[in-house]
Amino acid sequence: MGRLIRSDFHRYATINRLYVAMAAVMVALLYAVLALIEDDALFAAADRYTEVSAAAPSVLLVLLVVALLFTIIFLLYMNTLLIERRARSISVYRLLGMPAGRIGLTLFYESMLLGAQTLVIGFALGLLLSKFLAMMLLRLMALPVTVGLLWQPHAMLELVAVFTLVYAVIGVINGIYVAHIPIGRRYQLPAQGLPTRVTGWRMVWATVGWVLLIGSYLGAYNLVHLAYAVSQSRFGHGYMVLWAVLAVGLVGLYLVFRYSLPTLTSRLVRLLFFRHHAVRLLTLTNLNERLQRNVHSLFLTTLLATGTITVLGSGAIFYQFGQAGVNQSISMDLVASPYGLKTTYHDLNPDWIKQTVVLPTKLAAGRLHTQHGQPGDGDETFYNVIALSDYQRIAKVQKGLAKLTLKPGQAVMAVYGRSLYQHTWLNQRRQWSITLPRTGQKFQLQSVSNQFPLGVDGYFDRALIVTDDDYQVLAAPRDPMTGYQLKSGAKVAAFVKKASNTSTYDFLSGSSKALTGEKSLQLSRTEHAGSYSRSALRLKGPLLAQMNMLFGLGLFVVILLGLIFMIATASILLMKQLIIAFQERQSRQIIRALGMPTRGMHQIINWQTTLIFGLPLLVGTFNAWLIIHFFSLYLDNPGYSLVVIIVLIYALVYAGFGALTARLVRRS
Amino acid sequence: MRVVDVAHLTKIYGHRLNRVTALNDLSFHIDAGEFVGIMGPSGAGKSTLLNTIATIDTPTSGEVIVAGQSLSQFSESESARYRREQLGFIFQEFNLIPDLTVADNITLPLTFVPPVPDDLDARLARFAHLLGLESMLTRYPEQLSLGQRQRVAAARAMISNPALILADEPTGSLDSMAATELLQYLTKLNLEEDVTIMMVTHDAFTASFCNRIIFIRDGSYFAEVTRRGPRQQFFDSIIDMEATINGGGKRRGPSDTL
Ligand SMILES: Nc1ncnc2c1ncn2[C@@H]1O[C@H](COP(=O)(O)OP(=O)(O)OP(=O)(O)O)[C@@H](O)[C@H]1O
Ligand SMILES: [Mg+2]
Repeated sequence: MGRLIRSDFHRYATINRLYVAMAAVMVALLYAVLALIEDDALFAAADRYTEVSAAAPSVLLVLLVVALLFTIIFLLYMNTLLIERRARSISVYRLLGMPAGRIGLTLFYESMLLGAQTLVIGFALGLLLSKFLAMMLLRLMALPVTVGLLWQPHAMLELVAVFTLVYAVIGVINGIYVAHIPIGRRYQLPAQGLPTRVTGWRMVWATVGWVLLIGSYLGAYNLVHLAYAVSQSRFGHGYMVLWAVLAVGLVGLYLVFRYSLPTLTSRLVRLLFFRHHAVRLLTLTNLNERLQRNVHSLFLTTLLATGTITVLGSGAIFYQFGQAGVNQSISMDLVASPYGLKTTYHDLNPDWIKQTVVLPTKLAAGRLHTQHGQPGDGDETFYNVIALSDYQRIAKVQKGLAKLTLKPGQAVMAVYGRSLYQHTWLNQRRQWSITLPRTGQKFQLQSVSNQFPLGVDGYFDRALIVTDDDYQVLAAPRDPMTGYQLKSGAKVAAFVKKASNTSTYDFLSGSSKALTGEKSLQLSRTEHAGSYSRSALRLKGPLLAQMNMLFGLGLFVVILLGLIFMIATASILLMKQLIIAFQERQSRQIIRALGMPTRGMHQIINWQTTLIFGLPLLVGTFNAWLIIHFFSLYLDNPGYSLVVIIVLIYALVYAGFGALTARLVRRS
Repeated sequence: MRVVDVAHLTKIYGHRLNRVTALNDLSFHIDAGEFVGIMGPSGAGKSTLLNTIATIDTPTSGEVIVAGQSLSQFSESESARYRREQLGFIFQEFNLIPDLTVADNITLPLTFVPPVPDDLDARLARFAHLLGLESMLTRYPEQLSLGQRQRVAAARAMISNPALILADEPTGSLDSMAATELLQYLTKLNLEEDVTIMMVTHDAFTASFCNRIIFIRDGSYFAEVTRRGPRQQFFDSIIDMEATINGGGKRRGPSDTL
């Protein structure tokens, strides 16, 4: 009796093999991560560095748990896809009198068998992957440790235990499912049925879907200002906007998939452009059918693609933020105020210095004028005022510092975290100005930058770049900064280490009299309530190491999660396409018998696959872009280059899965 | 003029251990304008014969010549073109595409390769009228009765104005009313449009609409009956021949009786 089931097994050999392969890759990733966590030696070697590397195992553990949960859900979902396609033949077996218990038991064994295959292949693959992943992690965290393959029998045993349970549960679910397949009646394939008619209600939902989706997209694009507006209006908190946009977007997207797109495709089918071209017509009707009957898998994969690209992209943007942030904070190896210089004077050997840059500045309180009621209007704070010629001199050596041209009476403001001051549809920047109350000088604001000469850490708050003449006439206390580029070497490293352990600060009284210009500004070495402070001696090295470790670990976590998500997305699409291809084999035979050339047959399959894979990818990329755009604003635009590279790699691998699907469908 | 010339056609399925000879040195020919029936016991090779003439199957040996062209010389794309332009095929299971409307199902073969003929809509209207399908062009196959579906399949086979129509048990799933209707359409087509028709059938009544019946058994030519007088007389001689073919000669193995 089991032979009948086995023949089914045989018939779907390709699909089963793919199922095992995909699950095995996931098991391999899980094993590699678990082995990393359990490798005490690895992190013991890294432990001397910082608390970030000490925290790495617990971060990885969280990653492991998330990945494991996701893998289990993925396997369960995959299983429902795989069992559904067999319901028909199973119902025939039951009709012929095979006891449900027998079938159930066979399915249980089958599940365990597939599980065993998955684990064996997964562990072999995982062993190979472990070295690769460990090296990637250490490289990203910039830790100089070497590793080999990670052989961890303990980790294997743990995974064997977990997955035996998972596959047993899957087997039991299948057994129960079999017992509930109706016998006697003819089993209806879900794929058959009439194309849905476009009724009035469907049109309403279709329109609502577009409106909600486009509305949420506009909201997401202007999220920062929308959130600000809401938080100002006393109707609620800014973060409520975040949730609202997300919820409206989700509902809108679902409605678009469920109603708007099918309505669109069933309209398009009537156009002669499609009706008179069989390749186009059959591609479109196939998409239409997919949208009408299997929309859940498309919607799900779109969400998965969105999630994956968001996770990958934000990981990349945070990494880039870390890198850019260090340069933004300190642009040279050592930057010091006069007081800071005094403390290192005896330790710093002039031979170690490669380059010295001096930046004169003057300290002044200033008041910002923007449009009435707009963010920033009336802000009072301290500015380090810089002459244009000094700024240009530094811009020659500091990457990312834009060249400027200024007229008398004009100024450029540098501010950290400028998202609220940025130019968007909702927030047009016109006629902004800054007054320095103590001298009565007024400057038209030409632009707002987030790049500070020598790095933001040297400033009490903002910087103001003005023409040399305006600078000359400004009567205010001087606050010069000195930057050094150091040579490398053991002695220099020892000096950096020692210097980074001392903490010296400059303080500036932030009393209201100081801010409004009634009192002159005075630098001091002691802190008072409301003082503005900055570190008098700043070093780049330790900061860079810290950042690398933190964001490197983050990027690693994100790449792994992205991999697992992508495999899930692609396998759902692949399996679904293959199963549909099996069901539609007859249609393809008819079309071939009616004289469709082979080239046309292939075109149909290629187009269908492209659309089914392309839709989640495109929509997902767009969604993710909006989210990443928000992060990017929030992080002060660290740049998209790494994001683009990572998303491109993702799209390439994903397209590879698409190509594989088209190939398998053509062969089936 | 000969439209179909089948010469020493042999088709063997399977490999060394498990061989089935579906067609065994079969030869016959059909002239232009004939309405030929193919009859024979189940498993005799009738469908295989039709599929071979339609280039859906390739023969193991022997040759089929249609309108002077040898089918074995055709490349993949040439045979697709031949199926598209010279052949009309009516399948036993209708084989309509469920996602397409009746109109789109009928015109489908004409849209496979551009350009689409200018008179596409006129042709559609003509065959819809001929087969009485005008009122259901925007429906989907599932909304039609079996007889109506078979008429759609017939319209699809005819719309490319083929010289030869192959029909594999076209009345197999129809009741006698619907079957008679379809057969009358086919006869009309045969007489008015001068289309050559080859039709496989199990049923003597259906076969009596033809001019000539070729009987095959175990993949070989067995006999043929030509219509000379009225239909009733032709029907009787078909019944006689069926009795002969089933009675005499080798008995079929039990595996074929189901
Ligand atoms: N794809 C195939 N592979 C192997 N054997 C086949 C295949 N197709 C047909 N056969 C065998 O070839 C022989 C002829 O089959 P065919 O379908 O041509 O019979 P038929 O005359 O159409 O029968 P029926 O009247 O029952 O439709 C049968 O014995 C059948 O089992
Ligand atoms: Mg047959």
